[in-house]
Amino acid sequence: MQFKNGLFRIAGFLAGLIIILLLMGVIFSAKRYYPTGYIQDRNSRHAMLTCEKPEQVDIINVGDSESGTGFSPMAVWEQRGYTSMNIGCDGITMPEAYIVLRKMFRTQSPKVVLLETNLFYRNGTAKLVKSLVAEEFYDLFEGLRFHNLWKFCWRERDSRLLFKGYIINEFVAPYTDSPDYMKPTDQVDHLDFFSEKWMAEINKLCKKNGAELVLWSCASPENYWMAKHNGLQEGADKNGLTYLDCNLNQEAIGLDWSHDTSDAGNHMNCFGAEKTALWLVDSLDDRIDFTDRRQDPAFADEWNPILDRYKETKVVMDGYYTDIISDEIADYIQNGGDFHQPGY
Amino acid sequence: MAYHENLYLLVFLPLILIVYQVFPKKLRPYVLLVFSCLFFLANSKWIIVPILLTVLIWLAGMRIEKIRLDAEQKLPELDKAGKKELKAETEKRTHRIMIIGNLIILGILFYAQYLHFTVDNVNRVFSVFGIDLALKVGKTFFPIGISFYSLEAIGYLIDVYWNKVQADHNPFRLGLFILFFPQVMEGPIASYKDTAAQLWSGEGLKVDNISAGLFRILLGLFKKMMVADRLARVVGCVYNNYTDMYGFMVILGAVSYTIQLYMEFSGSIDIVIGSAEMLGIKLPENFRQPFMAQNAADFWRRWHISLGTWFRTYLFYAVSMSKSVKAINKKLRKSRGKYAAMVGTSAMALLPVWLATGLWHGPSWTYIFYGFYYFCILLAETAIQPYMEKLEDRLQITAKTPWYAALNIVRTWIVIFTGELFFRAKTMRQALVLFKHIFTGSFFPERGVWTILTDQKAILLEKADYLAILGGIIVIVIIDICREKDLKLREKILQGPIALRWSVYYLLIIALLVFGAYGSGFQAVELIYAGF
Repeated sequence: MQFKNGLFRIAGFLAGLIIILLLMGVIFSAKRYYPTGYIQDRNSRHAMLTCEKPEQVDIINVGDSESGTGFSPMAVWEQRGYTSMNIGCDGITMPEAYIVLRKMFRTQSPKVVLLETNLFYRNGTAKLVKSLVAEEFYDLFEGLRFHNLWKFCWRERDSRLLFKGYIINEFVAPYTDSPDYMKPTDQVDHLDFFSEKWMAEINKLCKKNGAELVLWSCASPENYWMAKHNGLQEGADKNGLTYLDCNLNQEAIGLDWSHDTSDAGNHMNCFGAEKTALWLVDSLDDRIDFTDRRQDPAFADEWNPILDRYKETKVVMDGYYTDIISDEIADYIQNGGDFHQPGY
Repeated sequence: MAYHENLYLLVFLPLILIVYQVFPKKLRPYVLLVFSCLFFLANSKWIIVPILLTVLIWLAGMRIEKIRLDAEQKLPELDKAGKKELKAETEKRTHRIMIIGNLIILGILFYAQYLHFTVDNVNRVFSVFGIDLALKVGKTFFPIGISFYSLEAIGYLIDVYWNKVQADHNPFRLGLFILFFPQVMEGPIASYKDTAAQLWSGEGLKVDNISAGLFRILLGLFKKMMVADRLARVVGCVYNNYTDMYGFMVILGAVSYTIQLYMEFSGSIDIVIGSAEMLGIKLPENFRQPFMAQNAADFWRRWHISLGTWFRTYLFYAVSMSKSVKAINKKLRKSRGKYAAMVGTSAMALLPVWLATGLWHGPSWTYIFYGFYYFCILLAETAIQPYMEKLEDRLQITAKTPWYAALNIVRTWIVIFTGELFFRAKTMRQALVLFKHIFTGSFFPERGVWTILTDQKAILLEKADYLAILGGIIVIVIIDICREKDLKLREKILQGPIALRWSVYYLLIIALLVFGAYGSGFQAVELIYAGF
């Protein structure tokens, strides 16, 4: 059969395929499975976004693992009464960050988007394009993202809890080298073409949705040095963005490298994440009109029980790393009633 | 951008199909060439290497043809002695060009693949004698697929020299033959005679071809995403912890790797052949149910067929038919008898072929060992064949006797698994340590095999993943059995009613999308043969 004559057949086949993909979205639905704890790892943040009530948060934090482990929304709620969410996850790429923000803006109207900057130095053209293609498909057909749910018949429920996107990690592995790793230099590790492009695109997306994009770097001797800071500052200046670098503000944050990192200076643990989150919002507080919602029953009724559970879990997990303690948390949760993600 | 990745399957391939169809027939080969160059560049910046090879074989082929044409024009004017002399001179000159051309190709291949390995080993040999030679080599280049298209280029040049094909006057057609995007990374190693004309025909797309190609691509993805990428984790666990492994786990690792390699390599070849089929181009098959082989020789007629065919055509026959081997054969026949001559000449022809096969896979002693291992196995099979035939006669059995056939298949499996145990190892030490573990120490882990296999921190596979592996293997075994029995399952589906065809396609797609190893929790496993 010649190509022209077969075009209708090809179109029919593709239509059938789209129906299958949409049906997958119905079967592997984040809304149905996220509260039960069957959705794990990176996808859990996407699922959380799908399940979150609309117009809940003023602050959104996004980025790679530096961001995922470095910002605790519950600390911000408890101390300042601002609502925030952490949608950072391991190895996130720039297109992925863009798409997850685009998804977030469909239901949320944050005043600020905090973008952790480590992702701008994790590039590779092919990787970026592959990530863009994959994320666009996942965004179109949600069932693809959560397809691994088919395993749930043989799987024990995920015992890790997300507290508005943050997973508690109280393991301490001190960083013992010098905290003065940001040695002043005129050298600049410039952002490459793609990083500049994606930074501008994310900024445009935030502006379009009425949010201010703020760049920030988590304190991490493993991942940051002065030339990198200079490159990021240069990128921020070009786009007219605020750039907050925790590496240069360790004292103001109150960081204690013998206590606040879970892996010798690579990532923050829960203690570091709480301090960092508070410093970040305080740094923006005088410019941005955040609302203390602790007295607002519409928010307090939802957020306070989650905060209680956050505190309880912190007690149980004292000194442990999330994955190691998971069975014990599972027992704890089971003793406390039905399994569910906090807030659902 | 590898063949199993979304960028290739969802962007590159559909785009090339559309652009190819939009352009007029005359320009379509150029569309293929441009896209092939883009595909290469997306994977490696060293496109200059295949371009250089193309120019080289184009010039060398033209030169060989010119020498022959000149000679043909002069021949009628010469007497018998003059004709003989001119023929000899022509043969000598064309032979020289062919040899020089091939030496340059091999030189480039050596520089890219084997220079570091050679220098390292020279340094080591000297250090044994207390001489610190400390030879150093700077950074070399490694363009993707160099082992594949180097052989294609050599094959073309020898074919022109052997007068099996006419020298191609069109460098772009030769370039497309070398760079054709579906096969540049993983083969199959095609001959110019079988593919160049098809590539340049510019025939329009046909729905039947797209349909057949799609089926093949889905099958390839099924093999890779259902089985290979999951088994990679089991294999990784065994080889990464090789110093303290249990015998059973080593065997499991070797078997898993063999299955992984088959599923991955044959799967990616399915995608390659399917991609070409969509464009109406038929590439040679590379696999024919290798696990149903009755012996090692049979296995190599079924496994990586295009490589075996290449070495058989351009090395084995060349060595077997060489004057020196013929002379030795004659001598042995006279002094030691027919049997000794047969074994002796086989050894002489097989040794270079299998050392080259081993080395072709890369610069590592494990690959050299792998080649030597098959040389020994194949020589042993040749040597015992007359005795086996006598035994079969006495027992009144043939290769078709069911229990005997099954026994032969299992015996061949043991040979294959052992070979792959060494093939996968990074170093000979690692391979030997693992091999030793089979016979020494505890055979079964105290924790239990299943406990280790489902240990989330060690292997990162869940119970459900093993079900997917099992299901995937069962499907592929059924397909392979049908192919072995020549049931033409694929043809029947493709020629069947549309409802049947679409159902099969949708089932395959659903299986891939639901049960496939992709997305969160899975790291893409790079194609093993793309590294060769």
